[in-house]
Amino acid sequence: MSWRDGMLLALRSVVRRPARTALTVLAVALGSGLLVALAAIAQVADTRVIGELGKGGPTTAIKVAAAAPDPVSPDSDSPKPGPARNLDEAALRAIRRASAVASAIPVLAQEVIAVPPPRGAAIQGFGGADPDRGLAQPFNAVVVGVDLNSLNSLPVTVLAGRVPAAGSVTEVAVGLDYLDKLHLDVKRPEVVLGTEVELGTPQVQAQGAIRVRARWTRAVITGVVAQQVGDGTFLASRQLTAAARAWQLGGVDGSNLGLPLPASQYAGVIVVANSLDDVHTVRAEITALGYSTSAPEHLVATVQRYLHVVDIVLGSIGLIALTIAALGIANALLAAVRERRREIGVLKAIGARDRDVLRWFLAEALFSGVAGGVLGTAAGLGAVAATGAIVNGYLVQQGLAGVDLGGVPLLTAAIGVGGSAVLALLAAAWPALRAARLPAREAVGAL
Amino acid sequence: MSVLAELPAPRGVSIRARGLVHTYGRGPRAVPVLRGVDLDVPAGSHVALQGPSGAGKSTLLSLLGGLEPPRGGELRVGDVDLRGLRGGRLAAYRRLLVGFVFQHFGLVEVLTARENVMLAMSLAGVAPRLRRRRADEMLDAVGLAPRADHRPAQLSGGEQQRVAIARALANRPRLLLADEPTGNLDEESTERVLALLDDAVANHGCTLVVVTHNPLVARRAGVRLQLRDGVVRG
Repeated sequence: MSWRDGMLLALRSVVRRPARTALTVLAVALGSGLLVALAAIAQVADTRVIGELGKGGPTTAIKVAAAAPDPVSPDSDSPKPGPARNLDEAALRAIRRASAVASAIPVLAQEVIAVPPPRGAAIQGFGGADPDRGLAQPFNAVVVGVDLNSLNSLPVTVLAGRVPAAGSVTEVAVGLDYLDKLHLDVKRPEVVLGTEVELGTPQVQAQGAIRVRARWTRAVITGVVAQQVGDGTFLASRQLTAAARAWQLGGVDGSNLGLPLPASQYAGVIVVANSLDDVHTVRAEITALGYSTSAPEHLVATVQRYLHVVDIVLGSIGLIALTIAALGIANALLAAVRERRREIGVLKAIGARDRDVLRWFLAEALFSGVAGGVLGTAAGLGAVAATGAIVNGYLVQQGLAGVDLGGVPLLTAAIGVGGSAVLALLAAAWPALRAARLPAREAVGAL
Repeated sequence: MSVLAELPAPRGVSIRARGLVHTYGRGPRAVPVLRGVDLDVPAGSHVALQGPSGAGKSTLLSLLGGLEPPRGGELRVGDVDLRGLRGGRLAAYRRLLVGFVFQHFGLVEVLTARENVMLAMSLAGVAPRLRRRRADEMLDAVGLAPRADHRPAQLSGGEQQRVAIARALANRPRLLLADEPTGNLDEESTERVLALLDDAVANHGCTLVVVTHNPLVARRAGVRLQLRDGVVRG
């Protein structure tokens, strides 16, 4: 008997007993649905938690400081940097040459005087009962400049608006501390979007008597971000920061005025390793080059261990459900074998081999497994989507970023359906073998 | 041209048994059923096997049909020595040489009449494109062409037995075995089924062994054998 004929016979047998088939399929669907839902939730949770450790950037990001490494514990997650050290183009090239480095993005930093917009209606929420509130007090700040085309490799989370356009010299993003300085509600970061801020870069000029001049840039605030690229209130394009830096370097050292020239070409470098496993090696190589690095590698490893335990627990619960479903299939098939002893005997009497009977029962189990797998996987993914919507609603209500569930996890869906089919075949193996080994003499009851 | 005409004409097989012994169970609980059956049936014969209940008729038929191997003695069907056959070789013997007609019809209830006939051909490895045509011709031959798409439960007892005969003859067996083929049928259906069995011998040329309690059925056979206490008499 061909597989096609076996399938036809099995399909007819399955359809012939709708109640039993429905219960078996339901059992498989419940098991696979639970497993798929738990796997998908665990996967999202893992990604979310690990992603959170990356502060919006890749978890394999390493922050290199323009300082010598901590002589005591250079590979701790947040080592204490040693003395300042010039991080120049040659050092950047050396870092890029290190093994397992996916990218190395230099970070510029420039001290500026920031002047918020004048007091008044420019920013909603300015002013109030307290006359000091909302005063546009100038303050010292740092502009952090990076190649904004590489945003995906940087630890930057957009809280409101957007990051400045790459290469723009008239746009900046601000951190939450900007809102603090302006006495604004940090829960409403959107109020500063579209407003302007003036940034003045000082230059100490030695022309007889010491003079300090400033180069002023008026920039539009396009977004509010949480960033770990560098210590600074403003995030801007590399071009904006480089122009400001060039202006200051055009003057002389003003250490006596509290305006020293920058000691390092770059304030830091954000290095992305190829994988989490490579982070330690890359850090060690950069340390050997003489620079301090920080990365949450130990924290990530610890959290991963905990998440792995959670995955095992969730997976076990799903497997228990699937095992119960498998027992359901086995029980249903054993009952079918008992009921069809004569039919099996007759089939053998007209020439069926053991493998033909085996094929019949395995195909029957396969139908239940695939049908249950498809139903269960669809239900499981539906449950995940519904749960995600509820969780997102809660997170947004709490002022947090929502969970990105992504599209349909095709691999999980395939494993859900395929796993159910394989499990059904395994569960059916014993009853099907029993059926296949029934002697043809069973037909004698019908003779 | 009919696909049946394309098939090689079947030849009946002779049956030879010497000291054929069969028991159920082993050791002290063994129940002897056949106690030394000697049998010579020429090829193409129509044999009626009679005897009281428990005489071993069904067991003898079971051994002839290769449903189980004999425990002792000699049993040859045509060129095949059934003593040494087991498993797959015994299944091949059943598939290629034997056709069964069951008292309770033995149709697969989830398949239609046509599919039941096609199933036997599928097991015998007949090419899929030929199966449907041949099944329709077989059903036409037993007068059931209009019922080809009906399930067994939708057919009368006589119709079911005719489907069973069509299935048994679908692979042109050389040995056709039937046990009480009319046991559950009314008079009219009985006559029709017996005519088909006669036709199987006359036109298909196979050897037919019928186990029956019905004298009317036995009278149509050329050879009548009595089985008593596990031994053939008369």
